[in-house]
Amino acid sequence: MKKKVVLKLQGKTQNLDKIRSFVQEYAREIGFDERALSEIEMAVDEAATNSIKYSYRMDPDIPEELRFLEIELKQIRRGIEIIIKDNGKFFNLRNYPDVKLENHLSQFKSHGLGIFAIRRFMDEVRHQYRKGSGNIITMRKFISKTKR
Amino acid sequence: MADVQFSSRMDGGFCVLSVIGSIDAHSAPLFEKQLKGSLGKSKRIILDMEKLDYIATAGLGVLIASFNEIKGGGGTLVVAGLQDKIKKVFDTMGFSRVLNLASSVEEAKRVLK
Repeated sequence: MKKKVVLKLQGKTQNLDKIRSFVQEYAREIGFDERALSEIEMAVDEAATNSIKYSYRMDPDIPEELRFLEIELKQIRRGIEIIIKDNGKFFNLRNYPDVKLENHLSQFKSHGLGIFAIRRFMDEVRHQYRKGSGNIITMRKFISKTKR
Repeated sequence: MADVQFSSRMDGGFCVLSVIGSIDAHSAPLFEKQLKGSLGKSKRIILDMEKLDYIATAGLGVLIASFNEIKGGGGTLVVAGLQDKIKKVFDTMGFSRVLNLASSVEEAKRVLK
């Protein structure tokens, strides 16, 4: 198994299934169980969706060919590191308030659940934004911490 | 090729909408359309999710909005047959506490009768 793999594709929702398959295959080889694989799948899908639906949608001036997503996967000690890069506008992942699930769902609201899922399902999440290059989301999940 | 397929049938007084595949931000609008179509057939909907492999929060958002709409109109929506891995996502995200869940379509029918 390769220590690091990279997938680069257009930032379109049509590509979300390819991204999920790519990450799941690699994470499975590392040794994550089915529950952890589902959690990784959702966190990655939601992070990529944020890039496509918010980061790129907020800036219609970015040409089609520059609307990419780059997914980098690395095996780290007892876990996986996933880096998702886009070329779009800043989106506020770090300061997005935590969703209070009970209140939220009892009022049938669903916004903010993607970020909730990313934070809940991954052990470490970091968001950087560099003007001129876009958003970089780095997420880590460890095998030992998935046994709940 | 679409990564999700839908089929619906009338079963007694219920409309059973079956989902095969994955619902993500790309396919969530189609899911919404299918649910609205089912609502046009019956106010009592069983969502057969036995063959659902993945659902993103975009799909969960459609589900919660539809549940609310159906409930507000005096109808019922039951989610049936979730695989364990999807059920765990529902549990973690709090959806199990809000939605009506059944282990299978048959159980959903029994509960609703």
